[in-house]
Order: sequence, then structure tokens, then C-alpha cells
Amino acid sequence: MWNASLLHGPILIPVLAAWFTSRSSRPYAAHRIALSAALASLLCTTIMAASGSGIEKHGWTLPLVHAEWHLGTDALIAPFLVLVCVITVAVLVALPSMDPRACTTLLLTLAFTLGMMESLDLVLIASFWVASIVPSAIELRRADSQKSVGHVFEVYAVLGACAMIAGAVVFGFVRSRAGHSLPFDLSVPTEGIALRDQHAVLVLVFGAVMVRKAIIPFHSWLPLVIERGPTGIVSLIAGSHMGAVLILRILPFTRDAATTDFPVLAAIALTSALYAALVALGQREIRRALGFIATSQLAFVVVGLAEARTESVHGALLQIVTTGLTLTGLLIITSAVEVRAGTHDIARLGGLASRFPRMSVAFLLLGLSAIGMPGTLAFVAEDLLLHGLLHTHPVIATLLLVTTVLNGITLLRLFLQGFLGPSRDPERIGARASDLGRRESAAVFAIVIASFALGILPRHLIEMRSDAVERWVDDPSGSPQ
Amino acid sequence: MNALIDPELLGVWTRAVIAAPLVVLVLLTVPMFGRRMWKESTIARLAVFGLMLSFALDTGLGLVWLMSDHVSYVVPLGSWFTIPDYTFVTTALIDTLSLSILGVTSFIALVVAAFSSRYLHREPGYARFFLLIMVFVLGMHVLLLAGSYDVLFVGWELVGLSSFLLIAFFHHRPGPVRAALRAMITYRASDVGLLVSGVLLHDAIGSSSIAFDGAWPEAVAQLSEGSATLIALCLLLAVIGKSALWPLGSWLPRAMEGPTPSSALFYGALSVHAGIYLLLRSAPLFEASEIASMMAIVIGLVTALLATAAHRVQSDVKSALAYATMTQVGVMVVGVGLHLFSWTLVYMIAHVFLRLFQILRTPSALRDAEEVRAALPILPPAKPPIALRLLPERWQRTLYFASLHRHFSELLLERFVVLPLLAVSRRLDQAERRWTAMLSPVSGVSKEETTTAPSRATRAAAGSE
Repeated sequence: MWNASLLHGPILIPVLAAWFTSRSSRPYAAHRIALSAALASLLCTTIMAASGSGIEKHGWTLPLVHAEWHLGTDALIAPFLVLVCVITVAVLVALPSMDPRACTTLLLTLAFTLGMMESLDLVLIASFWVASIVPSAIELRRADSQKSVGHVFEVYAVLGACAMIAGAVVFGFVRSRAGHSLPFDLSVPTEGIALRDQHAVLVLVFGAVMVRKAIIPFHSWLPLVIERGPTGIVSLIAGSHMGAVLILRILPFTRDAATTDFPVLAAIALTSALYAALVALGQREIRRALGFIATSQLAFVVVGLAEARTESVHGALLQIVTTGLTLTGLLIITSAVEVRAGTHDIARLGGLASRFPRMSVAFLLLGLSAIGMPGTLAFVAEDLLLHGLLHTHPVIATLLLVTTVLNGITLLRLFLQGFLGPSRDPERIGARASDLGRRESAAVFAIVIASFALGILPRHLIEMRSDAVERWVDDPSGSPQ
Repeated sequence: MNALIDPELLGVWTRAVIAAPLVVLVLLTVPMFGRRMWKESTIARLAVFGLMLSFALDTGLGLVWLMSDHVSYVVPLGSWFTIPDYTFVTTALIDTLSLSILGVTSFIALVVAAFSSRYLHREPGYARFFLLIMVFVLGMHVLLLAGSYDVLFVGWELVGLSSFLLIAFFHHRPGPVRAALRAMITYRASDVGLLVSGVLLHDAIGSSSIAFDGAWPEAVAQLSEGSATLIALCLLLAVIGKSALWPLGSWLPRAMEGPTPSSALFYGALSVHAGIYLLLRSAPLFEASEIASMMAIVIGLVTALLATAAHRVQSDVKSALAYATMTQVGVMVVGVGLHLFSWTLVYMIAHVFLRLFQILRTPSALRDAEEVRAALPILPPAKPPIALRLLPERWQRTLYFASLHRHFSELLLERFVVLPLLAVSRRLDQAERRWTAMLSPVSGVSKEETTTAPSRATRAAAGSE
């Protein structure tokens, strides 16, 4: 009963709350409901993560298809759940003026994202995957007056969803043919899938992952969504890392094919990281630059997981946490800049540090956290990623370094040109505009403190997952067998 | 008299040496985030006291080491994080090289802090200045005591961060911000060298330990000549950026936009010489590689020659001193290339004190010049140096023109590296916008071109939050 409550709570509570917020006519009431639901989900997921051991719950089975309502979490996945809830809580705290419809779509996205991450059945994963697209697309269309962002997002999301569904179908078919009673079950790795079938499943799953994680050539949607989408839903879309969870779930069943396919994915992801960092270099608009930097950093995660070595997997998992947190914080600040100045173009900004010192310090600290300044979690993540890649070839590791350097230059340039110097348009900011409010400051500086605290003391986060990562990698030398 | 130092005591003392500036740094963040800013006297006293303590600890460590048997100590400080196949081990290396510069660092920082407590009186950002000085001191301590290139990188980054933030200290003016941007980009681009050298060392010997076999400067690197060459060249790249060597030295004169005390501390004294320290620390690698040594000589020589010519055409004293510093740093790099490590160390320490004094005196330089003019109504005409007098006049003019334009190195870098890179970036961005425009009717247009200024209601709401 307790396990069932813990597993279902994070999914059902936001769904229920979304029903109430959709019927609420008072914005602040809807916001309070949403925040309460997010906090409740955070509590449930934190308890699951703190328990250390995995929990599972089997439910009803879908006849004919033999899919099962099967939820579970372990030390590998549980921190993802906490991260998603933290991101949701942070944006709700920082943006108290979110209207009821935005709260509703945010809650539904949260629920379906958590559902996907907890699912141990591939049909259930695909269902939640597709379901999470719907509220996101609705919110993106609603928030953009020209409906363009939502349209682009939908094109890519549908593409990814098709790949996801196809992958699930093929997986179920080949496992059913091999005689498994629950062909879509992912809880216990089993053998029996022929190598050719493994390749087929991996190619389709990679397609879904590449779309979701914005890996070239399926990357163009993410920078656009981050540039123009509303902060709340965008933080959740970019910070949820559903693609990473899918890789973690599927590898144990496709180890033989992964030996040859994963290096290809790693190479594509590394190219994507470098490409996005290069495009970010010349950006003038803060949000668009953040979009490409996020694209680059999401690719790091895929590189680390695809490398499938203990160090690189640990690095990827930490990179997930730091990217999710810092991107959320940076988007909150950029949103604050935009509200006060009406723009996030650094060519029109400047002088923000004199008017808004808290905002400027927060942006600098978050920027340093994002680029891997020593003492931050990103530094630990990149160090581990680097050592994982060293085993492949030092040249590959060097490309990763070059990418981090480019991202660092971009972020620090945004800070220097956007926040320092004289104001390029003094009339732009109203005389009554004030620095970060209490809620904004609370959300942003909590993220800063978390990033530095986890960076200085990353042991607990690493040890929590150590056994699970070893089992996932399942090879003393670090490469999938 | 020649006893070994108790390892536990050494470990505790080393931790205390690093902790001292860290504690002051943490304390100085309190007023930055608090409701009320502390008084200048409180901030200055805290910083000066912290640096006095730091100096006492550094000197004490040095004295204890001097009274021992003068061996190199590798002090384990624990591990930062561990996974089954890898541990980030933090160690400190105590030897002649680290201790000599450590004492100099804390002494100079103390002098500059005491000077700044009055020099920056009533300057906005007083607390911020001392905060960044403590970040720098912490970074230098970590850098100097690092027992591996991984740990050294931590200090290196802190030094770089404090450096460009102090260049932009007067952030309400565009010049300092542009200078800070240039410095930041140079640092980050050249830091690739330090990072790659760590990667290569790990690949070659399984760790990035600086503790080569034997005591500095006679230590030996157990590496093949090829590996040593590659690693040494990568380190040289990092030093080219940090120590403003040719062709990446254009940031240094511009860095003088910062407050005079920080210019003295960073670009006269310590930050610029951090690169020389890195080369000296990596002496075994240069001894193992003729190619890297030759490159160091060439780069040092070119830097020295070009910088001395540029120094002579500067019209302001801080820029002139910047180029003078570059000249001497170039000479030191030549010293490293010639394997004159001890000589270079002594020369570096002497140069550090000289430049510190000169740059701290620059605010008085104009007054001094006016006093000289007042005392000598007719000044004797300045004679050009002997070398120039030997050159034909046409060559003198060409050299003068080239020196004024800093020998075109930054123009060439901008023309052939920076602008093409930015052009590629912008073209790719345009391609991205065209692609997303194809997928949707209007999305190729930048949001900036469709966004209007916030309404009064929005601005009022933002203001009343």
C-alpha cells in the first residue's frame, strides 16, 4: 500500500490538481493548488529516492497486447523524479503570476513525465511519452501569438513519438515471438532477442531519443522552444531528460547491438554538442543562446550514456542534474530581465548590474555553475565524462573540452555584455522596475546553493547510484558486453 | 635539524593555508547578500587580518620546511569524489618552488590589500573588490600548492575568474567591460591547453600528478619524448593566454582598465606570472622535449622583442608598464626554454616586486613628471635607444608604426580567427532560422523583431513585485 501510494502519488496528485486548476477562475488560487501538488510530488519522489532500494508495483494487464500497468523506481531513476519535481517547484515559486491554464498544462506535463520515468512497461512508457507532448504543445501554442513555436514542437514531437511507438511495437513483437508472457516488461533484463532485432529496436529508440534530446539533425526545435516558449513549461521540457531514461531502460535488453550502435550514437551526440556550441557563440539573444547551450549540454548526457563506462555514465547522470537546475535558474532570470526591459537582446541591454545587482550576481553564479567552474556540480560531471571518454580516444575527450570552452565563452559574454557596461537604451527600463523579488530570489539562489553544495560534496549523489550504475554498465572494463 | 616533517602536521597546516583565504572569502560574502553593507573599515580590517594570517601560515610552513631536510612532500588532502574506476585525488606538493612563491603571494596580497583599503575609499564596489581579491588569493594558493594538474586547474580557473571580474570593476564604463571580455575569451581559449595536458597525462601515466621523480628542478618525467612534447606544448598554449605572450597578449594592456591595486597584483605581480610558475613546475617535461623547449624560446623571444618595441611607443604609464611586464615575462619563458629554471625563479620573484612597486606608483607618476618639469624648465631631448639609432630612418618609421598597432597580432587574430568563427556561427544560425521558418509560417523571424516594449502595466507590476 505504501509503495503503491509513493509510486502513484507523483502521477495522480498533479493530475487531480490540474483538474482543479483548470476550473479555477482565480489565478493565485490556481497557482497555490499547483504549487501544493508539485510539493506533494516532490515529497513522494524524495522519499522514494531516500529509501535507497527500488520499489515496484504491478497493476492490471492489458489483454491482447499483454502490456502491464507496471511502475517502479530504483537508485538510478529516482533522482530523475526528484529533479523534475524540483524544477516544477522552482518555476512555480519564481512565477506566481502563472495563469490557471499554464498551471494546468504544467501539472499535466509533470504527471506524464513522472509516469514515463516510473514506467517499467514499454507500452506504458510510450503512452506517457506521447501524453506528455499534448499539454506541452497546447501551452506552447497558447503562449506564442503566432502559433509557430507550438507547430515546430509538434512536428518534431510527433516524429519522436512515431519512433518511440515503432520501437515499442518491434520490441514487443520480437519478445512475444521469443515466448515472453509480458513482452513489454522492462523490469528484468532477459536474453532472447536476436542481434538483428536488437539493432532494429535500438535504431528506432535512438530516433526517439535523438528527437527528445535535440541531437542533430533533430535539434532545431529546442532552441526555438527555449527562445520563445513560456519559462515554466520550457524548463520542464528541457530539464526532464526523458530520452536519458529511455536509454537506461532499453540497454539491458540490447547489449549485443549496443556494442556497435552506441559508439555511433556517441559520435553523433558529440558532433551535435560541438555544433550547438558553435551556433551559440554568435548569439545576441540570451534565450536563444541558452537554447543552443542547453542543446549542447543535453548532447553531453547522450555521449556519456552511449559511452557506457562507469565514469561516463556517472558523469552523464550528474550532467542531467546540473543542466536541469541551471537552465531553469537561467530561464527564470532571463524571464525577469525580459519583463523589466522588454528584451533579452544584449545589444539593447547593458547596465543591468547597476539597476539589478541581485539578478546580475545570480546570472553570473548560475552561468559559472552551467559551464563547469570548479566547485560546481558541472565540474564534477564534466571531469567524469572526460575520464570516461579518455578510454575511447583522447581526441574525443579534447572535442568535449573545446565544446565546454565555447559554451563558457558564450555564457560569460552574455553576462559581460548584457549585465555590465553602460545601458544601451536607458529609456527601456521603467524607473519603478526593481530587482529580483523575494520569490524569484528564493528559487534562483536555492538553485545556486544546490549547484555549489552538490559540486563541493558530490559523494552522496554518486554513492546513491554507484551500485545501480555498475549493474547497468555490467562490465568490469566499462563497455557494454 | 634535518628531521622529516610529521606528515599529519603537514596535512593540517596545508589545509589551514588553503582554508585561511577561503574563510575570509565566505565572511566577505555576508554583506553582499545581507540587508546592510558593512563599513569600509570592517571590510578592510577583515581582509587585511585574513591576509596577515595567511602570510603567517605560509611563512611558518616555509620556515618549518627550511628547518627540515628540504625534500619534496606530497601531502594527501583526501579525495573529492570516488567511483569504482576513478578517484579525484587532491594532493599538495610542498617544495622549494611552491613555498618560495607562496610566501611572496601572501605578502604581496597583504601589501595590496593595505594599500587598497585607503586607495579605494568611497569607491562603489569596495566590498566587491576585496571579495574578488580573496577569490584570487584562494586561487593562487590552490594553484601553487597543487599536487596534480587537475587540482592546479581549479586554482587556475579561480585566478582567471577574479582577474576578468576585476578588470570589469568599473562596469558602468564600456572600456573595462570590453577589456574584461577580451581577457575572458583569451583565458578560456588558452585553458584548453591546460585541460588537454591533463587528459594526455592521464592517458599516458594514469594520473595528472605533478610530483615527477625527484626534487625540483632536478625532477624527471617518466614519459616518452613524444608524450612530453605534446603535453609541454599544450601547457605552453595555456601559458600563452594567461601570461600574455605573443600572439595572445593583446588583453594585458587593456586589462589596466581595472583599479590600480588589482592591476599591480594581477598584471604586474602574480596572475601574469602564474603561467611562468606552471612552466617551472613542468620543468621535467621541457627537459624531456627539445621541441617544446625550442618553442618556448621562440615564443619568449618574439614576445620580448615585440613587447619592448610596443612599450616604447605607449603614451600612458600603465600601458607602458604592461608591455614592459610582457617583455620580462618573455625573457623568463626563454629562460625556461634554456632550462635555466632556478635562475628564472629568482628573476621572476625580483620582477614581481619591481612591477608591483611601479604599478602601485602609477597614480603618482603624473605628479612626479610634473615636479620634474617644474624643477627642470628645459628638459634635455630624449635620445632614442642605441638599437634604433643603428637602424635606417625608414625602418625606424616602420617599426614605430608597427609598434603603435601592436604588431598587428590582434588585427590578424581578429581577421583570421575571431571573425570567421563568428561568421560561421551566424550563418549556421541563419540556416537554423530558415529551416524552422519552413516548418512554420513565421518562426524564422527573431522574437526580438516581433516583441514590443512592455506595457506600462507590466513595468509597474515588475516594479511593485
